[in-house]
Amino acid sequence: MKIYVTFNLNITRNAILKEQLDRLGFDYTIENTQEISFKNKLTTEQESVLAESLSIYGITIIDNQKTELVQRIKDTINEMLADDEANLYKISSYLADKLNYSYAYLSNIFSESTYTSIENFVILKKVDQAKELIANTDLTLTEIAYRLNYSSVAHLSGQFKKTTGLTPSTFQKIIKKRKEFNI
Amino acid sequence: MDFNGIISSTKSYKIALVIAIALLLLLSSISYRQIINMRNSADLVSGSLLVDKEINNLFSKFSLIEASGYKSLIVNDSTFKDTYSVYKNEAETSFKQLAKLTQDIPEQRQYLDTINHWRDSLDISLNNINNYRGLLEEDVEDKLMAEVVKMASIFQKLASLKLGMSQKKDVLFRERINAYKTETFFTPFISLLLVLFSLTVFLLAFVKINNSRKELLSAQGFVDNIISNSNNLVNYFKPIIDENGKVIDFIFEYSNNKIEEITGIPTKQIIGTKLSKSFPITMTNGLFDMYVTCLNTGKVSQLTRPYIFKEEEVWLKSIVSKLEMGVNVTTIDVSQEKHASENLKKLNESLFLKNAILNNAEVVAKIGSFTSYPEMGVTDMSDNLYRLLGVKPGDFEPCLENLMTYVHPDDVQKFKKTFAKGISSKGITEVTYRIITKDKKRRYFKSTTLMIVENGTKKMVGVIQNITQSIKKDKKLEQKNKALKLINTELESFNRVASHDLQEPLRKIQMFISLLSETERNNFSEKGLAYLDKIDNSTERMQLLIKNLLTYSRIDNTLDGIQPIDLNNKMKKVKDNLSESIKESNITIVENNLPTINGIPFQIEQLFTNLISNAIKYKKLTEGAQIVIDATKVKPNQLPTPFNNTENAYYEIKISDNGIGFEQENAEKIFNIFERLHQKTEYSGTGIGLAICKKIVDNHHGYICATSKIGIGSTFYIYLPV
Amino acid sequence: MSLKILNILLADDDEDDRWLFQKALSDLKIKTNLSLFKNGKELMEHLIRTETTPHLIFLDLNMPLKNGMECLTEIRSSCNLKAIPVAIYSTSSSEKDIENTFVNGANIYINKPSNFADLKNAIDKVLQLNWQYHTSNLNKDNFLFRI
Repeated sequence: MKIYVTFNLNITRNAILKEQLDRLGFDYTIENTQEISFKNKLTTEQESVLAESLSIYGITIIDNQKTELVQRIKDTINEMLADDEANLYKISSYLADKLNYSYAYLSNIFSESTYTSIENFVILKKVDQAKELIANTDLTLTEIAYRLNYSSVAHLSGQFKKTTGLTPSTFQKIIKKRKEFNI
Repeated sequence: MDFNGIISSTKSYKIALVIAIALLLLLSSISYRQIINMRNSADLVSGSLLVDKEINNLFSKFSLIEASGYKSLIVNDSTFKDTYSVYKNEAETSFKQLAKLTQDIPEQRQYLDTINHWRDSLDISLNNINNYRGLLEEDVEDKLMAEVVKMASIFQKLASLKLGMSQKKDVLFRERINAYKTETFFTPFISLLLVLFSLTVFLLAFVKINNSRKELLSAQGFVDNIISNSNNLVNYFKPIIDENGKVIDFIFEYSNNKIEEITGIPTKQIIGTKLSKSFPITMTNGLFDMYVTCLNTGKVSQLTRPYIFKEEEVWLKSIVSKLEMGVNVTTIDVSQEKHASENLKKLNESLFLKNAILNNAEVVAKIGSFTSYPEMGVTDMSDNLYRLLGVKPGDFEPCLENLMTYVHPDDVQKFKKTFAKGISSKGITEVTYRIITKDKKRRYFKSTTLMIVENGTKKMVGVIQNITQSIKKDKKLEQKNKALKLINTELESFNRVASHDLQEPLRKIQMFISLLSETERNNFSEKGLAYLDKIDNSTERMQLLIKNLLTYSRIDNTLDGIQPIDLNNKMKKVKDNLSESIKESNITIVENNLPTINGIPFQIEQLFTNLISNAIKYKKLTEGAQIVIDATKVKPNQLPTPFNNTENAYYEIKISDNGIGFEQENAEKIFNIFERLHQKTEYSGTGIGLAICKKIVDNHHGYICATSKIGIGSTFYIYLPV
Repeated sequence: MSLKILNILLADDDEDDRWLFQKALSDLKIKTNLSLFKNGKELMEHLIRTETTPHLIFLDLNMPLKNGMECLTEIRSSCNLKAIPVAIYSTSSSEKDIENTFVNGANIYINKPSNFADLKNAIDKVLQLNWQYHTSNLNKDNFLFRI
């Protein structure tokens, strides 16, 4: 039996933060998606404990503005990809607008920190989405290409192959076989 | 009581007849008597009536006399005497008559006597009267009167006598008339009864006669029918005897319709003719003599002879018997039997021959056969079966136990079980087992048995085959097969391992050369770098070669994993795989509605990948490269001749390009392994690509060939079974 | 880039390949901590004992004592280890075999290149991709990469 779930990133994150912070007995306020302010300064020990308990959930404490920006870029990109309409915009303009930095700057910061360009990252994200759709839905490649705003199936296949080294069909076959063997 | 039986039996019929006659006589005598009685009675009645008449007559005469007497007295007539004598005579006649009539009646006689007496008195009186009349005597009147008074009293007495007589007569009359009535009452009945009885008897007799007649008729008809419908000819002959009493001929008295059928001569024509005239052959073939003998001796005999009727030969068997003055002959057409017996003889001969052939065949084919009646425990074994067991035919008594003594001890159980199964099963039972012949040789036998039901009894028929040779061959074959398989597997793994393991050092060489070029570049001279390059190129080539060889060897001959493949999808995948080179070379690939075939996915992919990449590699540089892929269905007769096709229909997949092409004379060469048409500096390649394609197509029971024109392009044809 | 150092394990029976891999890795920007094993047995023994969870495991297929496929199966059946991304690092295999490795749970297949630059490139790509998967909320179940 299958159930399909989707989640609200913010709510999930906040819930986890709350749970952990409460557990550890901190006096805190969640300012926004990125920031948590504490009444008292945290000791290194406290910080590492917190970092460890949050790391299980994939939540990392970033102590770098750069890193934070990078995260914001990532988040914005996620937003853009999730938004069907926003997908039509060019990434560069979209990011520049949303984050109020020049695209060049953003690009630079991003590459420095992640060693990959924004474009690559976007592609990676899209391909990941494609992978999701191929693995978990019965949509055809044409439909997936359309949904993800590719100009054609060939375009999607090409990008898919370039990114993963596999054709979408091979990928699909492997995922199917994996499911059969219950990997 | 079987009344019918009694009736129909002659004896009872006779008794019945006697009884009937007796009854009839009885009844008629009764009737006769009755009638006589009636007649007598009638006579009596009429007698009475006559008496009555006579009495009346008489007394009327007396009355007349009286009257005339008085009259004469009155008128003093002298005629009285005359009239009286007339009347007296008449009365006398009447009296006599009456006397006669009443002869038998004593009382009337008495009366008559009295009347007679008085008559006399009357007579006297009358005479006196007459006499007195003439006298004239004085007391005549008184005397007359006294006589008259006497006369009167006589008449009175006569009257009372009449009355008495009449009364008596009346009484008698009444008696008689009653008797008469009684008689007339019974007589008709008796008569009627007699008549009815007679009628009944007659009717019964008639019915009986009629029935008998009918029976007779039907019996006759039945017999007639039999005779006329009999398949046999029935003739009745009367002999013709010459003056010496010797029989010289016979004449057809009767012949049933069959004669027309056999001889073609109509029955009517035959009857009445002489035997010598109608069938002269019988005079000489012994038939006539047989008839004569039968006539003389009364012995029944038969003779079978051939005749020719209606242009065909028929065999007729004649059976003759004496019947009254002639002979009765029944003739049967035995042609069929004759033919049948001849056929049987022929059949027997051919059967004998066939048997001999069969026996011989058994020897040649090294088989033996047996039949067995399991319920009766009877078995029959063919001669060769004995020989198969290494003994002379008939060496031992054919039965299951004896046969089993030859079966290898390890196989006895199997043999027994299968044999038991064979008896109960309906189909064919087979079993293979070993036997040890008399001379201790081991042989392999295969028994095939079948249970059949022959006339209600179960019969087992079996064939035993000496399959020792084929078993040996099979074993040899198996061994060879195993060896081959082993070799094959070895070769395959050798191939794979070799290729695989060869690649390892090769890769290292290349790897370290690349490291050298990268990191130690500065330490090399130009020449050194150039040498490195050469080494690199060579190793690259070698690597490609090995890779291709590996691919080639990986195509195994089995069709494991064969499945339906939609070639359209496959082409898409191939195009995906080659997407970079396709993009780079700017080549357009057009595929038109490709079919679905059965094949091994990876191999088919390789096949098309190689062909497409070839087309890309050998494209013309001058114009836009194009590949067109088409598919059609073809019939086996449309296939190119070198192809040894076995299927009913094939798909022809055409891959045509507008590349550089090649000389048509090389069209077959290109599929040879390591065969190249160009320098390796001109076009890269190992010469294995197309060999791989051919191997794949061959594996799929298909065929590949190519046509080309230099400078125009090439077309590759792949034929795959539908 | 995070301060994280990637813990990488390589199991390969060939000494040269191990050396080449290490050299290539050291030339890359990404900070890594490499542990080398010469066969599957040693690798699995280490994995069972170790406290530190590796970020990536490279497996050669043809190894004595325990080959790559066996290790892969074991890793994927172990609760602790099944989340670790595994890269098969091998010489050319047939398409079928490559697909098979993916089906059996490998995330990455690297065809051992014959050129040092290609090797560095391949490893770099793999590490980057892996790092992206760690940091950018991508679905690890669909993490398949071939080079």
